[in-house]
Amino acid sequence: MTKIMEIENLEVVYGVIKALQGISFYIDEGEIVTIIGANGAGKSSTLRAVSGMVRPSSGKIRFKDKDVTNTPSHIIARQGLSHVPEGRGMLTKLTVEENLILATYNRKDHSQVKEDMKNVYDQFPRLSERKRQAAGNLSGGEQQMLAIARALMTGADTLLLDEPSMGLAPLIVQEIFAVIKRINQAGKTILLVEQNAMTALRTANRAYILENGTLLKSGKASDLISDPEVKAAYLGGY
Amino acid sequence: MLKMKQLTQPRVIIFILSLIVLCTLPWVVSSFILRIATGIMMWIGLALSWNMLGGYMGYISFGHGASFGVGAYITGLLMMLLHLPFFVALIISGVITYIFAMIVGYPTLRLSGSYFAIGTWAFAEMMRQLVLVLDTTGGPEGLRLPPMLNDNFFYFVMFGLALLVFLTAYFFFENSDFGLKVKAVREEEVAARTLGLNTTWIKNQVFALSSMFAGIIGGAFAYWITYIHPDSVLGPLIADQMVIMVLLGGIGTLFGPVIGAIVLYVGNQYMLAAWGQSSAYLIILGLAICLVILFLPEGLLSLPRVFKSTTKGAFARLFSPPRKTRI
Repeated sequence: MTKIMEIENLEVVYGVIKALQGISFYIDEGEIVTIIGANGAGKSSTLRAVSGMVRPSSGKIRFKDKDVTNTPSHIIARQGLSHVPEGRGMLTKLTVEENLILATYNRKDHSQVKEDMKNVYDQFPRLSERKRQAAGNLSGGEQQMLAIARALMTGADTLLLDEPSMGLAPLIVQEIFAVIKRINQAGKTILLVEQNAMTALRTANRAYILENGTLLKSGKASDLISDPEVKAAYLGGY
Repeated sequence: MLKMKQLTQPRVIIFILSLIVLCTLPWVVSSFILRIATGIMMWIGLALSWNMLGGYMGYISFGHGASFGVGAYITGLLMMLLHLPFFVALIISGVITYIFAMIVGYPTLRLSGSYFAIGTWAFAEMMRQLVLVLDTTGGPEGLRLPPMLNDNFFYFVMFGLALLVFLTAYFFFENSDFGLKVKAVREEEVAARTLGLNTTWIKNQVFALSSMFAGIIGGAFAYWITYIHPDSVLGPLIADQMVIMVLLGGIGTLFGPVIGAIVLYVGNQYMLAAWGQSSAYLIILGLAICLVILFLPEGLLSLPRVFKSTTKGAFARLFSPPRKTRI
């Protein structure tokens, strides 16, 4: 397997607060990697730094053998990395269709766009039914589906998902994670950030555990699930 | 990608008919009415230009008057110092306000929400102070332009400019890929960037384009009035009125700014005629804005919809707590 992304000694600083104190990790092509950790551990900061939303104070980010450390976020997005932000980032007053169309404006492969659009509607029939409705009128689960569908429509091969389970009912969470698995099987690489540690570990191939801006543990997701320390700290009464 | 909305026949006919009516206006109405019509055209253009930035992109600017003033002064200076013909001066001042807005937009567009409003307002105030102390601009004495006393000419200039801004709003903001990108910036800038949209470029373009229109209209205003003064073209009331007209008519819509400009300008002129120069206008204006924001957040344009819903619904809406507005 080839490494699609490699992060070295990533540091992010907000004013005097060090959100990330030099973390290193990598993602192989076709993997689902999850970063789990408590509130304020630095999970979202990691994703924001990777997608260019915040500038890291030091460290290196390589994506597809290119250094993208200080590349503007829209350029990174055009290289095939799509960040689904926390809170889903809905363009609430625009329709579902407009949300999807907006994602395709930077693509050159116009014939593929049509096919992708059809595939996305096939995969998410509820979005197809609600094409002309404002995205703000969708339910939370549908909005999350739209956010993922939109990321797919950018033509990205790597998706960064920031807390896709946030604010959703358990049944819907199951559905979202099934979708994540499915698009991974279709060939997308996924970096998943979650507070819902159990579900994330069950879905992912490998996992990193983040605490106060440093990496505590890493390994195969299946190993970490049974790790007594992880169990006590993150998996609670499961 | 987005197909141009099919223009239904009646709409096109109404549009052409109103254009014909507006073109024959100078030979039908008195010169007093024509001057008011010219003023209405000017404010329609200004409100529409502000709406590109504040309505479609969601960046509420209180400094848009600065572009108007800069355009007015540049046109004036070009005509007085370099003796350029009016239209040449007008085009140059449009280009200069465009470049100028690019430079101003670079720092201010990094702000958002009320910070952007304060930033642009402070910038406009800075321009006013600058023009007050500079010698070339005549300082507090103001600037005189070569007089041209042809009401018909100015009516057609303002009419043409208003039409230009209207068509730009229609083709570039209502029905285009670019317009959709602009609206994406308004809805959620971070998400827009994750979709690969260069939001910085989009924001700069919209800011510069809407400023350019305000600048050109300012230039035409200067020549029309023949005497400009820091307070008359760079005062805060210019920008305030643009904001209020758009809010009154319906923010982010094509016809909202048009309706807002007509209602507000006619109301203003009527009160001027009835009571002379008094501050009553400002008080009534303030009151009207409060009422619109509280009870009709989508502006006068949404009035038919409110009435169409059942009376019960309309009452419920009137007395329900105010909805969140974008300001």
